[in-house]
Amino acid sequence: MMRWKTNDADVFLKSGEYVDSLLIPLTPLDFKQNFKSTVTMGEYTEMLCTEIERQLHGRMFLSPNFTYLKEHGPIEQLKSLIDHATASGHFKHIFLMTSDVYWKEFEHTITGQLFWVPALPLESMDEKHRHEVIKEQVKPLFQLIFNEWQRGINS
Amino acid sequence: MSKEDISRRQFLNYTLTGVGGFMAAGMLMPMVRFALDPILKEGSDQKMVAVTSIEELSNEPKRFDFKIKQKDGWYESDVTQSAWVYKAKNGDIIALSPICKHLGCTVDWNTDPSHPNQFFCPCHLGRYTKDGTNVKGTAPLAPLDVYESQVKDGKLYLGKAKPRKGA
Ligand code: FES
Repeated sequence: MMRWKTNDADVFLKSGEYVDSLLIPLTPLDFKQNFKSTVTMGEYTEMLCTEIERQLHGRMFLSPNFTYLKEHGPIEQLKSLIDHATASGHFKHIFLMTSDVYWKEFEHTITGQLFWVPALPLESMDEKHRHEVIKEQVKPLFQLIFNEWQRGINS
Repeated sequence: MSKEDISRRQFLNYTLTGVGGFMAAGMLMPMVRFALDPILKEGSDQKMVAVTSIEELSNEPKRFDFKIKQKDGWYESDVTQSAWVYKAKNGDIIALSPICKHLGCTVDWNTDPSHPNQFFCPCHLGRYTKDGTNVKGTAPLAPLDVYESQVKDGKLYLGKAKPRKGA
């Protein structure tokens, strides 16, 4: 596991440059009119991130959620978070995961690869099927991640 | 002020100390218990889980996912595990853990075009031969763990994944 846990932090510090990728879930907050759909987005993003972390935690560190209120224009804050992570010297590759279309327009202005995956309605599904769906959804993302890693080797 | 008053105050004092002490003990006891509990419970055995019918198996490793109940101290949760399963030439069923022995990524079968018919770890390009032996010169230093397995009524049951000696 490579999450925001004290034990994982120890492993992370010991594993040196092997863990060189950071995955940040971008999670909108809204307690007003879009409450439920916002929760759904966050949950979906979390499921995707968990699956990716489960399979790639030897190289990928899962960051806590980057939560925001859209009306506050969170783009600057995200940029400085990414800068901070890069400047730490730990991470060569930054991945961002979200179901919020808000970020789509910034795709090219942020350093880091943005995965925008619209949330599927999974609430009526049992857990087994849910996991099946998530695994399918995550497959193409793995390919993109491997490509990014590949680019790192060739450059 | 009478004697009675003082003694009442004293009485209150005693009682309060008593309650305080009692509360402290009440807080301490479970803390001690919590600290000891996982040690006491360790070694609770993991049951074998039915994973697939053996008809689905061939010479080609195939990935199966299954759920087990895992106890992490006091916290019990369902954890998804996977196994790469195939039939060896001599008919034995081999079930390998997909957890890379380097830093724990999930290995895939036959996905590195330049090294066909090996297990491949995408994280730091670790490789293993079909029987799970780590390829020298790649990052992992030990072979993939092997699941305890059992066939009953045409079904494959898997238990714990056991480590093997390094190559
Ligand atoms: S985690 Fe598999 S090679 Fe590093």
